[in-house]
Amino acid sequence: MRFLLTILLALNFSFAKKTVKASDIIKRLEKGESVEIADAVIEGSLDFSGVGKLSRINTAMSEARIRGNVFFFRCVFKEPVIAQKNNANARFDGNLVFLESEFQKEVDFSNATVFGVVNFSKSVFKEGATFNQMAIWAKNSYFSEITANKKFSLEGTSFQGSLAIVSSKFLGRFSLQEVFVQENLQGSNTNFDGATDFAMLKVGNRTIFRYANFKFKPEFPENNSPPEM
Amino acid sequence: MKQILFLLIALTLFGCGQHSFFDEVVTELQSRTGWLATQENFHTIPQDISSFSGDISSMPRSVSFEDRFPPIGDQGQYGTCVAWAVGYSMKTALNGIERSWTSSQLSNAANQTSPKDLWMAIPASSKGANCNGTNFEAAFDALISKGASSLSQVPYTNMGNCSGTSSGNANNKLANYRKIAFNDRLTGGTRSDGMSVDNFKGYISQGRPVAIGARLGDRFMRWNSSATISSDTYNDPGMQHAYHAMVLVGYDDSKSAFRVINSWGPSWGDRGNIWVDYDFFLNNFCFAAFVAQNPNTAPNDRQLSSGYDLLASFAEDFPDPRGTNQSHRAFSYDVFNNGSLPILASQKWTVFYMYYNAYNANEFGIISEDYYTNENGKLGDYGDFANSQAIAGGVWNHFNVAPGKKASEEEFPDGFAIRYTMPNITGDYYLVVYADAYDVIQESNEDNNFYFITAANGRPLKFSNGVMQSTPARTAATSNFDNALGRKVERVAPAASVVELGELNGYTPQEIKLLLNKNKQDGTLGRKIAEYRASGAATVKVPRTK
Repeated sequence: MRFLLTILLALNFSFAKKTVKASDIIKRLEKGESVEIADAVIEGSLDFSGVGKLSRINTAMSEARIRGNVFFFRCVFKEPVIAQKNNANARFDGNLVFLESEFQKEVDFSNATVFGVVNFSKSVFKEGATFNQMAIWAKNSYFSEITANKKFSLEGTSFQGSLAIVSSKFLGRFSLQEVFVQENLQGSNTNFDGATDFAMLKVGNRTIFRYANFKFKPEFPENNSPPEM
Repeated sequence: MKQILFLLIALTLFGCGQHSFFDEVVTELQSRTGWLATQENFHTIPQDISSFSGDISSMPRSVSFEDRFPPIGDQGQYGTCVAWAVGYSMKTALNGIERSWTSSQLSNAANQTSPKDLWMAIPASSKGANCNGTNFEAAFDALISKGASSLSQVPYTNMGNCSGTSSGNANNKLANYRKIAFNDRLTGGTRSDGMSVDNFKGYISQGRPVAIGARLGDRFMRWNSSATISSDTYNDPGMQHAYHAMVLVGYDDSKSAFRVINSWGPSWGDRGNIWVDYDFFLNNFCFAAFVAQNPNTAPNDRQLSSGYDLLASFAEDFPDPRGTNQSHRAFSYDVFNNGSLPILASQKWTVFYMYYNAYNANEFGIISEDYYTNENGKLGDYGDFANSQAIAGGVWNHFNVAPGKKASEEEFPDGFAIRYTMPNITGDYYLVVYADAYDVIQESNEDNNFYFITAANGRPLKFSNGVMQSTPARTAATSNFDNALGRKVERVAPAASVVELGELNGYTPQEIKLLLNKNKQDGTLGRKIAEYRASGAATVKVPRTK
């Protein structure tokens, strides 16, 4: 009986999610609207770099501007979620939030600029996740309690506030190479099962990795204050 | 009037002005780089055939032969990276490896190949509109044809404006170069080949320097770390055009990275070098890779060699007079016993007639096999194999070959022709006769077993659906076999029979031998032979009619 109940609950959970087409989300963003979606399966690749009319930023690069907030809660993304493609990057004027979501394909926000809050907490990345060379202006950015099954990279990204990657699990390679964190870097209680790269990391205030587990010994640059382990 | 003035100002500010600014940025960046990637013609540069084909697990976890290179160079503000990579780094290293130079010898300018001399040897037409770079082909070709002086003879000073001349050095040449990997995405193509970690590791583990053409990004330009670069951005407008030549000198599986040496002085990167992540290297960084070889000191085959030696001295290919279509052809060859001992039928040796793609010899096929054996008939007999019996169809010959005599001479005193049907090939190919193709006879000179049939000037033969479009070049040799030794003196040395005919990139006999050995070991040759049998394309050996 209990077994049957468990199955029914599981079925109920999966059937509860509605389906939303990525192209419909892009259409709303193109109108400058905010997007708030919960408990949905997003079908199709979500490509922020193609939103609206692109602004040229130099002879080769263009930028898509997303004026509204982006908020997803308990969503499943079946296809890639990207913010750069064909020499076009994305600029988010508002928040960029994906809470408790599951990314089944790769995620790539490289080169994006974000002026609002960045929060990917409790999300699961089944494929590679790349947040390289981003400019994030929020006071706090959160990648806490996430699980990244493969490579997770924030290389070259500039955080004008603090960065939290607390209680997360990184099963593949994890890189904070050449990352700049203006305030605090908090990575406590996180498991790093793959190789880590902290080369050229610059942290303005405290670097905290209390109770973090590193399978391979991390090498922190000497120019910062020593990490609190 | 006011509107026209406004328009002129606007055009100046936002049209020409902006364009000039970006042009200046691009020009400045190219000055530190200088690989003209879009001039590279990957499809006519021969593919190397000696890629690693062994057990991948047997490769070391890390390899570095950085210490076999000269100290890190500095190209300054000139777009001479290709000359630094190919000349100063690669050629000096090849010489050093060959001659076991110590680090102090590698630091001696007298032993370093001058990038300036090589740069000046490259034709102005291959150096871009502003003399701001060149392509690998131009640099390699210059080192093959002219060589380059040492850095002590031609220092990297007074670079001037590209109008200087090269001294050259016949004693410091390359024999050939080969591409080992490419991705033609930079030129708008969609083809790539050889872009695998194992391929690159294979060459490095064999101690072979690999010159690479790379696309640079913003982070690379400012790199100052011993960490591994695994991502980059290309937001700087100049970075869209920054293509650069460097050399691969190692790898480390624990870092998942290749070791690359640069020519921007020791203060850049990791003491002038950089670690590049495997995945990043393959997907975003490297777009071309080449290896090169120093000239061999080829044995002199103009004297009778002691012991065993077979010498392929002549071959011709012509339409089959009895053929019913244009792919019906015939060929003939001369293979001499150039040694002092008789070559016996009991040694069971073979002459292959084969074709191979001029730019990728891995695409080859066996046209015919002429098999010398005592397994069939008695001494003096010959016959045709049934397809199911022959190794590659063809003919068996129960004959011994005395010193100074040619194979088949006793069978066909007036010569012979082997009739065949050309396989359905389209493109540029060479035909080659390969004596002792299975390498069963231990010869004093293994490099003179080949005779290449080419079009005029050593160029490849052109084929369309198995029909030869070119006329094979005729040599001075005749089909009169009486003065065998005399003709050997006249012939072009086989080790250079293609190269000396003007095709700088023809595959050498050593490479063709390597190709067949490799394909024999990995079973490809057996598969091709099985295909040959299945095709029913039997060859027929007949007396030559005059």
